[in-house]
Amino acid sequence: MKVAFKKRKLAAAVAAVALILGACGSDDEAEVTETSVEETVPAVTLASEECAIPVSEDAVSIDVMGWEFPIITQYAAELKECEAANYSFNIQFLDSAEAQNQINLDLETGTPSYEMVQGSNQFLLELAQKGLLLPLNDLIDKYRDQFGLDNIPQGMWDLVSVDGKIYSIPMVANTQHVFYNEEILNKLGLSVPTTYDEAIAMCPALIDGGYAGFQMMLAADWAWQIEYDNVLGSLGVKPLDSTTGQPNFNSAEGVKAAQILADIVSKCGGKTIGTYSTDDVQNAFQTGEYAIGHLWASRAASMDDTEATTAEVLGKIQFAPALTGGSILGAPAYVDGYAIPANGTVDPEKVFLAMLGASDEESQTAAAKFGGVSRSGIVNPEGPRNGEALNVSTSNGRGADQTHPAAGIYRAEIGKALIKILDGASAADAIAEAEAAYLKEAKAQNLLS
Amino acid sequence: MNRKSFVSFVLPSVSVMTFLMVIPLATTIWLSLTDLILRDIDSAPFIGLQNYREVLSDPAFWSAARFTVLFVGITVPIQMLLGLAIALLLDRVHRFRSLYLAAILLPFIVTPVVGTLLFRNLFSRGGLLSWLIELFTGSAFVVDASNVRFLIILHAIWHVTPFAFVAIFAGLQTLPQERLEAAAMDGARTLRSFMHVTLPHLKSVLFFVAIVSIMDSYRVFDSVFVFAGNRFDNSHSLSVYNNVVALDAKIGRLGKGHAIAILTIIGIFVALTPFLIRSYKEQIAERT
Amino acid sequence: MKQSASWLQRVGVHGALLVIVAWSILPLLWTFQTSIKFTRDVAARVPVLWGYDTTAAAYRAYWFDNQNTNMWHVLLAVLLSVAVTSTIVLVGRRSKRSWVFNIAATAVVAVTLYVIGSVWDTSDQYEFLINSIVVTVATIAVSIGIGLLGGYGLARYSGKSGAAILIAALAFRALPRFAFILPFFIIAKSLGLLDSRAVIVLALVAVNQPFTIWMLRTFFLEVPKELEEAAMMDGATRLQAFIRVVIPTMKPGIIATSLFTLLLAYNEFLFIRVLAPTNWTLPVGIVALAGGESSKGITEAAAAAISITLPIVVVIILFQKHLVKGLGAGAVKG
Repeated sequence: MKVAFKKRKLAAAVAAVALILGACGSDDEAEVTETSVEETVPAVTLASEECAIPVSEDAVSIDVMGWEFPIITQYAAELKECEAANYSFNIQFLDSAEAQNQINLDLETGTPSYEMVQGSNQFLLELAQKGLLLPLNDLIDKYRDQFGLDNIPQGMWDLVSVDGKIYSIPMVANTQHVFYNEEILNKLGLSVPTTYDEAIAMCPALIDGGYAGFQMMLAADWAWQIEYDNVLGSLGVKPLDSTTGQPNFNSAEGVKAAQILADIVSKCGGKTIGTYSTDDVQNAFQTGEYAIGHLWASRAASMDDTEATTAEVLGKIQFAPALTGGSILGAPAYVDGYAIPANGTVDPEKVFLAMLGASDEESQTAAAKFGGVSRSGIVNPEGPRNGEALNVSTSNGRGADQTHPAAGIYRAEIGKALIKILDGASAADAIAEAEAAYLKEAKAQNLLS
Repeated sequence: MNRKSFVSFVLPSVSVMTFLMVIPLATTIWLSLTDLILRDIDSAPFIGLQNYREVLSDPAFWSAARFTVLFVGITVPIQMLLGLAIALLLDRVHRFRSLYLAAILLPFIVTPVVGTLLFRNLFSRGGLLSWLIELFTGSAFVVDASNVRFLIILHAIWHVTPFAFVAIFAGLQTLPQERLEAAAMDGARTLRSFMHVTLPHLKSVLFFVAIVSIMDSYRVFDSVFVFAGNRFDNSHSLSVYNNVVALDAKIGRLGKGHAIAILTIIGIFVALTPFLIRSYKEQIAERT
Repeated sequence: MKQSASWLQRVGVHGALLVIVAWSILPLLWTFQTSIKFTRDVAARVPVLWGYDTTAAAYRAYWFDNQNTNMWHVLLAVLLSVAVTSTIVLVGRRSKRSWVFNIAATAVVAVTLYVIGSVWDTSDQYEFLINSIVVTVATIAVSIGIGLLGGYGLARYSGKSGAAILIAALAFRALPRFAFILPFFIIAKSLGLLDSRAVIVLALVAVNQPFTIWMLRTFFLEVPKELEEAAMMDGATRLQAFIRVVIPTMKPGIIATSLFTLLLAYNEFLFIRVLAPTNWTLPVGIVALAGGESSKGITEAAAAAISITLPIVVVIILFQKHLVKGLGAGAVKG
């Protein structure tokens, strides 16, 4: 009995110690690694060639949240190289809708847990509008020459600015454009469409040939919003008035844009258009299930991935600029970058330096293997083959999403309403519903003038 | 045991439950009467029952409520019947019994989020079952609004049946052999002995399984969240709808979310109260 | 147990059971297959059921950051550790001081986890594994610790307040997570405790208490009162009698209840996701891969699913008898 009693005591003690050790503290361990590579810049020890930033005296721990696609994975690896500067990174990815949610949740409490967030310009500016991000103008000016920040075109800086305040260093240039399987189109005697009408017209031939019609990613409400803005933009209309926030989209062009998408769904979409995620669409191209459609430029590199693309398809995927309904291409201008939440506890300059280390020329050249980067003149021979389609689509495209304070509400409501087209709603009804919901919420939050 | 001892023994447990469940619940009730939003958790202006009015007139709420009731109404009986059937089957074998047991328990052990993904894999692009369905029906199988509910329920049955099975199986092990033999000697055939000997013995097990299953399936979140997520609004359970309203940053209405939670609780207690009263009476009876 | 049946009946029963087994494990088998294929074979329209090239790339991508990690070395390390741990436990079973061997085995496992983490360039998912283990073990320890006291009190006391507490606990078990989760979030945030494992453990312990005290109470009811009364007559206080005499007989009950707590804590998703923005556990980690927008691919999500499931499957298989006993006791009496 005594032994049993002592055994219990010991077990309790071990459990208690384990509990205390385990539960106390969630700190990352700071890694102190070599601080070699003396550059010619005097008095400052730079971490390494890969991450040419000063080694920090105190350990810096940075939590990062974002959503991932191949080029972002590469940039995350570039960020991790800065651990040589006495930094440690905890980089976490969720899918885009979840990540945006998580970031909003965290930043809106006023004491963010993340030191860095990664996202598209549309998302970052939404955060900036709510005052959740730190403007970086001073830091950019301080390090402009040392890190050659003028190498990034002004247009890109504009995409991540509101009222002259810059909130991110652009790193990734992304858009949507046409992907097609050249062999299949040739076999069916079809040429690459340039307008939405041409795309819809080619669908019967594709379907008769046993392939899917012209495809778009329309499986989630945010996806509908993006494509809708694309089509509407190509008709020359912006969804909201930029000053007052009043809706422009319940108009002839607005309904026409929704109708174009509805036609794509009914005449081309087939069963998969409403359920395939972006990954599914990518896979569908890689296995020859899809012959033509809109896809993110960032996925172009994966078309040459031998592990994921079947032998019949390898090398056959080509790229063309996005479709249009008029003269402007229905392609969005997205840049992705890192941003720093306001009210963080870590010294913003240190965080900013890590961002710089991950977006220098060396990093961007490595990243260029996976997609479009921001610095001009970066070339990677192993990079994807869609450079031209990407550039044409971005420069002639409908541009970035709007930055009016109520734009976030518009994006939420338009997506929710339009996705009902998949279940049979008419284009006109969906637009009307979206407008009513948008006005109700925007007025409730006093964002219209 | 005297009252004083009792109090000191249960104090840690009751304190934990009071501070970490009763008080948060009270906070939830309070907050449901305010207009707390995600963007600004420092101010919570009192607005009375307005959140409740908004929720009760929101068609999404009723859709979620309908789906949840449908979900409970289908999965609980099926899971109990299947669990009973499997338990009776396993009771008849002795060889490989632990192997069978381990395999049949598996769906219950797997993390619900993971299990949903495993299940979804079978029905998604390139999945085994979606291909088989395609072979039989001739057209491609794609998960859409019309069949996602079916899949969610199918997954739930897969996941939860082992629990009913194990409980009933354990109950069967305590069935005294003599009573079955006595019934057999009295000439009772299998079905009658089942109805008159086995089933009454299992009554308390079945009651236990029923009450736990109803509770758990009513609260379902993980699998519906992964399956239906930000698509398929018509197959959101009440918990998922709650999550969308309260924690989805585009909406972020925490006050309204709390109201939904309270309404959900009222809903479950409407169903559970008879069970709870019966349990209480049993407890009292045991003590007298 | 029943009279021996005819050959045909037995074949029928085994056949039916095999069908049920197949239905139970099919998703796991299919996903395992997915996890070792190349993406092009997985995404194919017509499933490739055999003859495909296999690769451990998905597992490597899930567990390690360095794409050149030699998976054979890792496998070797893991197998070595398993062999050593099993030997220690098996040898320990024959000895009187088996608890020493069990602790040694636990130490070996802990050392292995630490070594793998430092020698190889592990990914964030590895951190989540450690978090999962820590949270689970802590939850079990605290839950059982408090629950033993509460369950015993409720088993031995015959007053009405005992019944009231039990039914109240049952009622609380019925509550959805959203009844508590938002106040937890707000309070944790204002105390600066968000993202700490301590808060998560507390939340899980609280939510698990009703079930724990019910189950432990049922086991305590099977221990005859005379046992501790004899010890108390020898001069021990109730608490001393409880610890020295009653608890040792409760080993099966403690194991059974711990298993259910293990399942609850290891599998928890919503609490972690809301209360821990960065300190994730494995289930939250996998949702990141599974949305279909990550382009990490379905193979990595499959590798994740198998990796997460394996530990608990092993644990449950080892302790399955206790699980059955636990449910039996809880169901029949409760």
